[in-house]
Amino acid sequence: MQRLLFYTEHSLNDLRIGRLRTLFAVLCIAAGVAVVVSLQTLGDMMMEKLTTNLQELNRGDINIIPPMPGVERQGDTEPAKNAGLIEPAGAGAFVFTDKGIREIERWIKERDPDAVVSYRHQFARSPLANAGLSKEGQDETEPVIGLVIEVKDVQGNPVYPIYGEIRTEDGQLLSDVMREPTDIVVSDNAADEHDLKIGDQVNLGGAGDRLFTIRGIVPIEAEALTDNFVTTIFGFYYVDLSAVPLYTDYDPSLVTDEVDGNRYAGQLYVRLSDTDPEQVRLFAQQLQNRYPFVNARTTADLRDRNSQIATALKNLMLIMGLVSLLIGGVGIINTMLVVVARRTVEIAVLKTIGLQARQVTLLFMIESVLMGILGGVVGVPFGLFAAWALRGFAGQVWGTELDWVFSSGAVIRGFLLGIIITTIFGFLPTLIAGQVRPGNVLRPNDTQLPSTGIWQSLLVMTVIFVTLGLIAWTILGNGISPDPASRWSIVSVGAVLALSLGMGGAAVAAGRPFLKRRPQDLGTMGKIGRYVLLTIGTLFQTGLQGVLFFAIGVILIALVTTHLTVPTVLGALIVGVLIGLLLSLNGLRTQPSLAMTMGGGLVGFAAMVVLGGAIGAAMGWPAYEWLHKSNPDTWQTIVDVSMNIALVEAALILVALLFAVLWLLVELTSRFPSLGLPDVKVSLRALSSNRWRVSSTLLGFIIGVLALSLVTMLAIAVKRLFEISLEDTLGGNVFVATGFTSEETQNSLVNVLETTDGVHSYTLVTNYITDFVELRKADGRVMKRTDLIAVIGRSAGGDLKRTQHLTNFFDLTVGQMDGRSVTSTLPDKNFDEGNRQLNAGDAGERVIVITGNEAVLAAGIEAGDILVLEFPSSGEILKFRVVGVSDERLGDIQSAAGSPIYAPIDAFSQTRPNAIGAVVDIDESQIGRLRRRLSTEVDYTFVIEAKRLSELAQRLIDQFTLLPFLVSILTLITGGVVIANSVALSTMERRREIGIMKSLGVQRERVLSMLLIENGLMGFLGGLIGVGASVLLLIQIWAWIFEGDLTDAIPIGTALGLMALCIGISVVAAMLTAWGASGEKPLNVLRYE
Amino acid sequence: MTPSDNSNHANVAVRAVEVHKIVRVGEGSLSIINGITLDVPCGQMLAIVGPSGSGKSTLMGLLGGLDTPSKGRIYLDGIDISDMNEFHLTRVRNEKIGFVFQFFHLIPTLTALKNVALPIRFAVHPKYDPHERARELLTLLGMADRTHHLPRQLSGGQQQRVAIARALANDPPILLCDEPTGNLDRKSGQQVIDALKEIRRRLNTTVIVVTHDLTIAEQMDRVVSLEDGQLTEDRSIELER
Repeated sequence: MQRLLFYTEHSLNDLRIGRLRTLFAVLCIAAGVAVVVSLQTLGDMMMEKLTTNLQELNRGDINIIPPMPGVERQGDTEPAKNAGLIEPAGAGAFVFTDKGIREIERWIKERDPDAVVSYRHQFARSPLANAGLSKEGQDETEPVIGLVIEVKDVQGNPVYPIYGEIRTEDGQLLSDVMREPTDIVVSDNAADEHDLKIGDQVNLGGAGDRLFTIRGIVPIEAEALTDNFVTTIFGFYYVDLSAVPLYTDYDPSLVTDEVDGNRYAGQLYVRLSDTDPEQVRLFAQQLQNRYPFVNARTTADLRDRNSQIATALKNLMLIMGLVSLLIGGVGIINTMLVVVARRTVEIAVLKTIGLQARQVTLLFMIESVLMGILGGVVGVPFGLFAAWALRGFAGQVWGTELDWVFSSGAVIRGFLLGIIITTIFGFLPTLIAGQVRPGNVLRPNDTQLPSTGIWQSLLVMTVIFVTLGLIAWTILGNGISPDPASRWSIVSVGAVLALSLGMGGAAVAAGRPFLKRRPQDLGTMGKIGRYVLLTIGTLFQTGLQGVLFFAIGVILIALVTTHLTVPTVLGALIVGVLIGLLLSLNGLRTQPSLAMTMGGGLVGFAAMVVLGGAIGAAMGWPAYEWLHKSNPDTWQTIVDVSMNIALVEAALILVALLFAVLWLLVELTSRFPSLGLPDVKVSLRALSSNRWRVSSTLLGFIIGVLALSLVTMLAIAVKRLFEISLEDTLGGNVFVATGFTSEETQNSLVNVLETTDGVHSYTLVTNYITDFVELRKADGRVMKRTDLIAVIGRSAGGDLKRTQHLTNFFDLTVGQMDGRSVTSTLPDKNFDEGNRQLNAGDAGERVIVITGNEAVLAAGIEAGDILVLEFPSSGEILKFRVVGVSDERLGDIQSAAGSPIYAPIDAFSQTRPNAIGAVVDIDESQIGRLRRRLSTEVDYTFVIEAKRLSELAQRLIDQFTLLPFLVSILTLITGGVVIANSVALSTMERRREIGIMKSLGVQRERVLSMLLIENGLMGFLGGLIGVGASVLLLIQIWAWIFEGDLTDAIPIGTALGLMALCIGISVVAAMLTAWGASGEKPLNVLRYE
Repeated sequence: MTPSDNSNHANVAVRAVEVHKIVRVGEGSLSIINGITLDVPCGQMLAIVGPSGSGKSTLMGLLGGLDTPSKGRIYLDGIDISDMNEFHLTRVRNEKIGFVFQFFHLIPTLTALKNVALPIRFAVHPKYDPHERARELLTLLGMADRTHHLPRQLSGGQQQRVAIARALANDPPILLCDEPTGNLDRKSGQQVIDALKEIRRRLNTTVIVVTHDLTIAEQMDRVVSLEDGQLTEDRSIELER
């Protein structure tokens, strides 16, 4: 106990005396802890938001959802569709018909007469009908989502929402402000975006020239957290069900005593009289049994789903935070190494007076743990403050105001992780401290650090792997564990690796004394053995270096050219082996014993890996056989933990490789010509003399830079790409949609497009909702949906999740199709041999082109097949011959810009389309004129510019990248602190050098400039590598997604800006400590240092 | 005398027999100590003198168990430490030897009292209460009024006296001093030597001092000279007096 007190007191004193050094080391960890705490707190706030007020979020005790992709259901949709309870609404989704609504409501009321049923309606099936809103007197339609709700029931009671309430910004209920059918309420984000105010008169898409009045503004949160995430992007307006007759396609003939054929519902909400969870569950179960085509989601289901989402989100954030913490760990390892180096004499003294190596290690370990605790103490409040300040940002991402939650879990996790990371990163330096020889006390000027030794190094590696693996396991669980069939092999491989590492270590340890002995001390056989071993070792080393350089060369070539050819690979191999040979020769020339020892060690290692592998496999198999059968749970845990350890090993090997590359780069940079400038020369030398620290600091910094630049540039590039590709995909720069689908509308539209100046070309597009019937293969096989799902399942390799995803995607693909004018511009698509685009000769023919997205490819649809589709609006069944399956790597985005299937516009005999539109290529200056003509000559049209669509896409991208952007900024800040720490350590180590320079007459400004040049160079290197790597990655991503060169989309300006930011951060970080250090009085430094 | 001849071990505090120290330098090797044989009786004050690079500090390191010899044997208080591992050497250093260094090497973050108490805290079987013993030794060395001062608040002479007190904490039979006056002015240096003499007188501690200052060496009982790792002279001052 007394000793422990001594350790603590001594460590605290040392930290106190260390001042700036302690401060920066603590800040390194504090920054990481702050990131973890803030992200975890945000995650907990989100969890709180998603798992409380569940009845409000679910909009009822039960939320009844009609069939749609991605929503589970028990039974087939066909009987319900035939009974008229549901109707297809396009893209594989269905809506409840009025008949369906009434039947379900009747069923509910029979069982619970006091139950309340409410709906979120949809008054028409066409997706265009309720999209958009335009201010009075303006041509432009703003894409705001319309939600038709029943504000009050027939008795005048408010029924939307059934639970909770939605109030306008001035505190009124929806039922108070929406009194007339023409009263609407808009969301705050739509109001801000389109400058809408209370009292404004607007036209609603689909409601002709009828004017509606905005009566209130509600927070976006009212819908965002329910199933309406998309409202966070576009905003929404509420319009009452009583307004449905005001819409242009309202058909009074569909209204009978029984049903109103104009009414549809997207979801049904039920409030039961008995809200006991078990009763609700039973009720939902019965409902689902009775109507197997629906998904009856209870609040408990929602809680489970939301908890899963929030937990996944929190884990993701924890991983992001951990990256920051690991970067901060670089600061700790650097600081502890300097601390140990500066205190070698003190350690030697402690050893002379009786402290054992383990006691010295413990002493320094306690110091690093104390730094971790201090880092936690400083980082936690910062993290909480950051979470408080950032909740607005995070709220924007999720479309809801996050309520402040103090999360003790986040604080404890951040605090403990800070201590754990500090401890494991401080472990290596503390072990080194234990290795300091007591004899150093007699040579106080010798501050050379001892090496850790083989066993200690292995111990450090094992501790790091296992600890980080356990942390990864607590976060990822069995997320990365393989399927049961391959477990044994992976665990055996793990065992082989672990064992061979140990055996290899033993081989090196055993081989070292032998190789260290001089030839004259060995017998004849010993001499021969030694030379054979050394020769093989040198060759082996050459080969290894060659392979290393070959691998680097191949990666570089792959990144730069995006294509690998046999000559480039051979070239890289030759260059790699040559460099390896040169290095080995150079090594032999300068330090033959070292090179040979290394080589010999490597041979020993390789031999032991093989032997260890055999032993490991021999042990792994019986272990599997025995444990897997006798205690499967333990076995499962072992597998999960092993997999996470393997993941950590792989990640750290990558980091080590990166570190090695950086080390070489720093070495190369330090050899740059100094251009005769002494300041530059000193700065370059300093880089070289601190290679380890510079490289490790750069590593931490680069991860931050890479994260930030990748997120930023990817967002910008995708936006730009969207701009470029949208016009190509659409085949024009303007999209026209009409409210009517009659032949007259079509003719008027054609007339306007034919006679408007500036129209270069146009394509008429009609849109039909379709149902897949069957696929007839060229060989005569007839495949129903179930057959195709089986095919998809096989192509997904039996992976259930993927099969489900592909099936949904397939339903989405065949759920609607376009008719396109074959004489005008068609979408720009690529086709492989045997496939083709539609052409003029196809006019009137039932031929189609299908987007070759992953679902279509998995289902095996190919040119020559016959696709049989049903058109629900007419009941017609048509057969289309597939002439082309396009080669699309970006199916999702392209299908969003139009239907993934299209046929000639005149191939649909009697079926009336659900929507008519046109894609127009027109001079930018004439868009306004076209808009005016269309609004007067064609009823109910609205015009969307491709640019506008891409703006929306950009907003979407912004929204999704906000959080990663935030995290990467925080990571970069941690990287900046690590740089500041490194500078502080460097200036501290070089106080004497600075003192000497100043005593020789060098001015403070010059000393400062040297330090700034040195760190500016580090920032430049960090920026160059970080930003450069993200540019290369971006090019690679491009090459992977698209064929062809899209380097135009690389935002060079942003890249340069980020580079400047890196240099700025490192110079500012350097300035923080260099200013004081350069002002030291030379006498002070020289006397006391 | 041969290593097997242990008859006089009881009266010999330090015994070195044919000690060699060879170190590797690059591909070659360098012999720093070449076959030194030396007996230091209990209670004797011995000075080791010699020019720079003669091997004085290396010899002291070997005698104090800070390093191990390449060849030969070393006995401390009758115990053979030649082949001991670091763990056992550390225990020997804690119990049998007190070190005093030229640059004092006090732990800068600890007060004088805590510096002196340190070896007792880390003794496997402590013989004294750390603070009581530290206070007693500091009083013995005339530092009773400086017990709560940090090293940087003390003069060089005072620091060295604290270092001597620390060296005596576990009542070791041998005191090894490496240039104990090298960093002090003449007056302070003499005070330190007087303190060492007083300790020898009161505690019968064997004191070995490595120095290049002949006036200091002349105040010892015996002086051995070292040159190129070999003993060149061994004279007894007492006899000369």
